[in-house]
Amino acid sequence: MEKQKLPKKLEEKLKKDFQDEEILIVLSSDITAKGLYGKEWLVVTSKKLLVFSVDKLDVNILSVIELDSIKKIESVNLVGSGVLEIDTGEHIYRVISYSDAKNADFCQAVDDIKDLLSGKSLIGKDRTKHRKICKTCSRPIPQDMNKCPRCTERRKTLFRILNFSRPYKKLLLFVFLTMILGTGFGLATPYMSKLFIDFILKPDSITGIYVYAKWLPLAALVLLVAYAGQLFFEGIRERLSGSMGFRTVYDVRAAIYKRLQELSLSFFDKHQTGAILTRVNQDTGELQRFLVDFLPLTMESIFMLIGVGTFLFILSWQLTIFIFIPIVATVLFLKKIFPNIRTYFHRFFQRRAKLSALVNDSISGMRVIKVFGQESVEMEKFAERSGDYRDAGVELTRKWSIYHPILHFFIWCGVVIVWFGGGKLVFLGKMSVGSVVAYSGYLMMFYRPVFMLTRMAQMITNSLAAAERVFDVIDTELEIKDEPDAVNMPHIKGKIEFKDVTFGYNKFKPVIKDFRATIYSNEMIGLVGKSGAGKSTIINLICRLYDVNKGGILIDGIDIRKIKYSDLKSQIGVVIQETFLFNGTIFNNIAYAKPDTAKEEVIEAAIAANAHEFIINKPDGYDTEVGERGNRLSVGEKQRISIARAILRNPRILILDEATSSVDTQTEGKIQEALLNLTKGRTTIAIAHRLSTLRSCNRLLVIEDGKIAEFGTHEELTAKKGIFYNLVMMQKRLSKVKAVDG
Amino acid sequence: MKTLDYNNIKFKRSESGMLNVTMEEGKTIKNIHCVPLFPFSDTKNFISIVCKKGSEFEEIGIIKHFKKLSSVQQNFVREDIKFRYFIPEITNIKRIKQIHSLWEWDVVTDRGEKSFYLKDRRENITIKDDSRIIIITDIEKCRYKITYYNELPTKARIELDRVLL
Repeated sequence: MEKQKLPKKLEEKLKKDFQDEEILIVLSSDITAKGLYGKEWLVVTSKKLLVFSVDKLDVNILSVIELDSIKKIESVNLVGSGVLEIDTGEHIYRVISYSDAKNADFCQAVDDIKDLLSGKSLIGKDRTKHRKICKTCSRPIPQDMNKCPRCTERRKTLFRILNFSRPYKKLLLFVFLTMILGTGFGLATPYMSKLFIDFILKPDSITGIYVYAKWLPLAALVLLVAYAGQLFFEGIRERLSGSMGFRTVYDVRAAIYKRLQELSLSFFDKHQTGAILTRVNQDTGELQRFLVDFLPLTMESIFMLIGVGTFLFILSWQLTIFIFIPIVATVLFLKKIFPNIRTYFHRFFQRRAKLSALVNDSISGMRVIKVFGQESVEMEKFAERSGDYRDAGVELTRKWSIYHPILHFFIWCGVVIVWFGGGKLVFLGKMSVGSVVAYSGYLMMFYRPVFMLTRMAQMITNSLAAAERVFDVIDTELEIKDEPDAVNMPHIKGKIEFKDVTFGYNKFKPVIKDFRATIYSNEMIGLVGKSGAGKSTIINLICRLYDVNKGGILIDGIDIRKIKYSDLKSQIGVVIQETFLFNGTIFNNIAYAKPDTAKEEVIEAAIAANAHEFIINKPDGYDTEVGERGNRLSVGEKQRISIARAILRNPRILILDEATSSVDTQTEGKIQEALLNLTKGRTTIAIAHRLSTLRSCNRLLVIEDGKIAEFGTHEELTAKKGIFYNLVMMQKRLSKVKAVDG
Repeated sequence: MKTLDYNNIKFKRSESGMLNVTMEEGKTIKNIHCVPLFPFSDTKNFISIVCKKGSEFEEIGIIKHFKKLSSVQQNFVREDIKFRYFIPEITNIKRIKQIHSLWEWDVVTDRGEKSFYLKDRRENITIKDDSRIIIITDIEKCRYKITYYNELPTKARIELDRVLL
């Protein structure tokens, strides 16, 4: 049970006034009775339910309710908050409020209190911490992450990324070597200018003869080799680091995609599709940029900084001390402007995306716009968004036009200091002209790594954050997996039993409650009930897309959780309401049910599904491309492809979630015939909407509020004149209306 | 649309603090709720009075214009809406700061001071097209709103502009 640490005053009060009662539950809320932020305490003892507030002066008891008097307790969801309601039979009390952040904790507390009231012990009860709070910094952890992004050791994440590069150790070594060599060659070039000016091109002060003239060709050659060497090794480095980076990210992308395939449906319920796509595409792309571009450039910059810095000191330590003034100023300036510029860039891209979304919407919905005559409204909207985009672009350009010259001014200040200071040192005989020229060259080389490393902190943060999001998916524990003692079941007979099954997508809000039913092999059961009754949930449980919270589902007498998942999946076929076809050919979509299947089997399945007759009328036959989500096929055609897919699967248990979308009578007849073929000789559970489908069911299961309301044959339920009868009558009336209108 | 007669309905709190309503025909309905049909764009009009039936609300009627109720009755409705809708109004922003990949907001609201976190700079901030109300959703799915951007202190607006894009 939940037992938070009590404030001292409250602890003393409880010890004093409730000493003979065991404290079982202690939970704090974050909203007071007046609807303000603040703490109130829910304390449940062996006899009472109490609510306290604690201020500087005293402990105030806000509610005291005897546990014996509680008839019903509920956590009621409001908007942005919730409240604990207690019904004593005489009155309903709202004892404590809490924000959405604490919703799961209080739902768990209600569950515990209900157990207490029914005499169950809370000791050893399974607890799942719902509100994730970091133990290190006490900040909340984002709901779709398992670790605190603030406290996750960055070093560990960095090592983990680099671990993915382990298979490419040799490549990494070559990358380092080429970096060192490239930097070395690069450092030689400004020094050569010193040699040219101070020796080769300098005449003797007395004779006027160019003493070292004979070295000119060699010096020129050395310079050429230095430039060529620098470029050569830079090119090799780029090639090797690119290859290594792309290969590493390929491995990361494969790992995340594999994990996504293994994860259960509840993961996809908790995370938005967009967020998952971002992790697979953008976050791995961010990692790619980090490994391919940023990391090698950073390493190179560090080498360059050390190398150039050394040469600057060797040439003139006095000048180097002065040079640090504009360099420090440049660094500080960069640190200030980068966050600002990034904001403007973000704004620019964000507004571009918004404009693009508007245009996309308008073009897609052009029919609606024209029918409702809203062209001028759309033009106004476009003008506004386009104006925002324009303004963001202008602002960005303005800011950059200010920052850019200032940045370059600092850089040129450095150059001026070199010539002024260097000139003075030349006059004093402490530095040669060649050294000043070389110094100037090295200084320009010094700025590039300075720029790079100034951005480093932010780049690393972004990349590590992206990596953490990727690893978060890879590290997600599988909810649905084979237990160690799972059995093989290659030939399922098809008997299904529900034993006191309770399940909710949110554990504290069950959709199915104490569900008990037996379905025999080869029986066709129709699930009937209004929208939200729990029909789709039942078929999700049979497919083991989710595991039950309480009770169990048995197939041929064995708990579904004890059957090898691969065996179960291979013998369950599904025809879902919204037919989903992949972008591919008709053949690929049917054959998806059974990879490597022979073409004859696919054709047989299409014939049985009454799909073959329209397929042969397509110019490309079975090679016809269906388009994205099958948008090149009609609704009826898609349904029959879906049925063919299920027939090819030849499952022992068939789940049929009947499509509600209507088609013409002829197509309807064909689909009905196809469904009859499909359901023959297998256990079928059908969410049926059509009267004709309901009539072909052996028995009908009427569900209301997650429980079985009626269960029997069509004749039995019609005679009962209950819920099923009313639904059938309503449908008959609707059909008559359609017939009249049609 | 079943509209309620302002003069003939009476709200009253029960002993336990629940809100009841007595209708024009003298019938009292217990444990009712006030649900604004436009909780962002028009909080003063079109308030649906509902009672719970099972897990769903069943509408008793609609109060079209809130101001036409007597001030005492208005208070009952106002309190119930305040209780039902916990979307704090941000009146001042002390600081918005990036901490690693989280954005920490330190704000003052009409319900008290609060610190909350966003996963992204901008992702969970929406601006309603019609009313220009800014809705912010934090990592614990709690929502906050800024109804009058121009009434925020200058420093708060500067902080907000940095993330608002």
